[in-house]
Amino acid sequence: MLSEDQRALLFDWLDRLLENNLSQKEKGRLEALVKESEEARKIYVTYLDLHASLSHYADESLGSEIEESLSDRRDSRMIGFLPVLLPLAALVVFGFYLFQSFKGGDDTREEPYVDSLADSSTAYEQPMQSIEPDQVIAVFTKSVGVQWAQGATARPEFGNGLHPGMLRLAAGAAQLEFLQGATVIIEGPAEAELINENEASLKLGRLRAHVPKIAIGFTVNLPMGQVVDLGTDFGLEVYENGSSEVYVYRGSVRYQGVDNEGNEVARELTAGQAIRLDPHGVSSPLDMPAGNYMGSAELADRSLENSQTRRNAWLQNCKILAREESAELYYSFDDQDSWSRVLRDETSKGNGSRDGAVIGCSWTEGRWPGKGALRFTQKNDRVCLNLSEPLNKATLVAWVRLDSLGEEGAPLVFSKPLFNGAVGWSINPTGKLVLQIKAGQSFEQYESAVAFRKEKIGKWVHLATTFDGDRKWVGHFLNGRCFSREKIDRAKVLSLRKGLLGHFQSLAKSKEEESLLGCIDEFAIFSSVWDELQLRKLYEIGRPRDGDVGIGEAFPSALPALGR
Amino acid sequence: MEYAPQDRSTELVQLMMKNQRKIFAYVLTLVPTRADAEDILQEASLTICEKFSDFSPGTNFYSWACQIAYWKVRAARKKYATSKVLFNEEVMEVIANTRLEMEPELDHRHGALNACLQKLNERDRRMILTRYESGQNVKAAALACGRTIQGAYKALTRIRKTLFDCVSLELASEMP
Repeated sequence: MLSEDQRALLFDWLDRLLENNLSQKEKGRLEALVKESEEARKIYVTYLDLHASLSHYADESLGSEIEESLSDRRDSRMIGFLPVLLPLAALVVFGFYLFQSFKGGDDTREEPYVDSLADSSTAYEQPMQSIEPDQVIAVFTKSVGVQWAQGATARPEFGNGLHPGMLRLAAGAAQLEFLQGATVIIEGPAEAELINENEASLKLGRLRAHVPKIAIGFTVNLPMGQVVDLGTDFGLEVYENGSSEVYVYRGSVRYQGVDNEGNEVARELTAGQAIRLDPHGVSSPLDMPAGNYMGSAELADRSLENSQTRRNAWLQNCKILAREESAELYYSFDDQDSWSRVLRDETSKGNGSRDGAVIGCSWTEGRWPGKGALRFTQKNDRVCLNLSEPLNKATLVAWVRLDSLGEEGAPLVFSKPLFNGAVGWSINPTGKLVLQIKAGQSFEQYESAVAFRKEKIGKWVHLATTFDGDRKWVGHFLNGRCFSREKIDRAKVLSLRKGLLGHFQSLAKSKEEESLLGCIDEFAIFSSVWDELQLRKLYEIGRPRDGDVGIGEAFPSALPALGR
Repeated sequence: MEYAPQDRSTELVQLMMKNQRKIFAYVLTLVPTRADAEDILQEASLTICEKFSDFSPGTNFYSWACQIAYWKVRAARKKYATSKVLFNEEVMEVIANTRLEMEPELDHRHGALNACLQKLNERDRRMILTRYESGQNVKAAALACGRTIQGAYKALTRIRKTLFDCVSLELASEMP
């Protein structure tokens, strides 16, 4: 039987083995122990099986996330396959693909590889050629500084499923993962057309493709031909004059095209080879460029780096906001212990009396890795807060991610309805941002046009509402854009005495026992009226990542400005 | 070279669906690096397709497939010396046999692990699942959870041990 020390040592070796961190000497000692001791052997097998099971569950979890993010626009059968069947399809389809390739000798190899995959596959429920316009064929998985071209109709958001059609990128880099398995990074300015799960056309710009074995046959059409992948990493660039370049980093590709006299141009390129195709389709050899294409790892690093940079900029701004003269209450939700039940007010005005008391909610991750947020899931979840002085001017600001709107809508902040100026700020069940205010004995309600559409569920959004008791205006803002202004009837002040964050109180037409379903990771109240420019800046600094296209961009400031 | 005729392809798909995870786990026990194990699994899968006509319906597909996988691991050992495969052939064989003997228990452990993952707090669960996503590593898990790399190594060791103990406890509590 193993001693406690031997067991501890064994687990230490196993952990370092799994992280590829075990020295040769230790490998030798592990081998000897496993050989000699049946108990050690069983622990080894059990631990390595845990390692395999964790990979399985991690992929399953990733598959579910992708599935959720594609929501109801996807072909549910196809995506539902992904976590389980795609690896299987790889095994079976790839086997049959080779069968098709070899059984007929060289002649069959001339057939397009995609066709041979589709024809021989029994694992897919539908043939790969019959792509419906609304079918998801790829997923937008990473981005750095993406700006879509002016007039581009497709402006996917991070995590969206992509349908057949054009993508026009003005700047930045976007990573797309085709459902057949190829990963492609397009660097702007670029124009690419997504055709099916294993095919695209590059009209302009630069593309880098990593094609695993499962996706062999991935095809990119160029102005005068097409590149068919034979299991590889390759780069392409198409210039405005119609010329293009093909670089192979690993494996091999086949270029097949015609020149402008109709002659066939066919080249098979292997690792380290490159060709240039002039606008007439004539090819000539080219030197490989030295690492000027962005790879997946670099993109991932830059993406994470980018989110850290964003977080740092936001942290700087937090300090400024906390010192802002008009800041009455500011919860940054940052740097709080996971067990903490006090939500710290960052302003120095209340001497702790404006700190929130967390009831029920759990701490979770906010807009960036490492940033805190509170998650509201149960009907009693809430944060109690108190701002005793009424305000005749105010701006309410929150970063929110809703899991669902709920039957009663989503409460943001509600104060005790006993006091004049008691406020209820919420999103109603139809997605309108609503400010209710108690004026005398009645409640006034100021609501926006529909702001919160279904596609915003599950995404961080920046909400703001301004109240100007002097000039009698209420303004609603989403992601830094104003999309609703209303004239105030009678209300003169706004009060947050005995307020609840993320929970209803019984103002008019709202149920008391409901909480928000989702997360909040920033909330502030200012005693001044912020304009659109200021709120836009706040949104820009606080948005989770570059390349996010918020609803604000889709909703132009259609309403008249103040005083007009 | 013969391949499964079309009429047996459905049977092959079903058997692979049912056993794919376990075959991968079997390979990973002998080749702990995921990418290497996936390469070997892919090679084994091709041979499984190729040899499927030799497989007798009604017999144990998993054992049959593992034999093919085992030979692929052995071949990899010869091809890449010791860079992919951890142990010498003698030890590899006893481990493969131990694994096959333990299959029923390992099946139970796999099921129990899901329940144990749900018991982790969100940050730990996120960290371990990020680490194990395909193509990810400790650095990615560290960044995703706002930890230093060193901190992530320590956390992953702790989380794995917690899960290992939790699964053992779950199994013990299921025993009559």
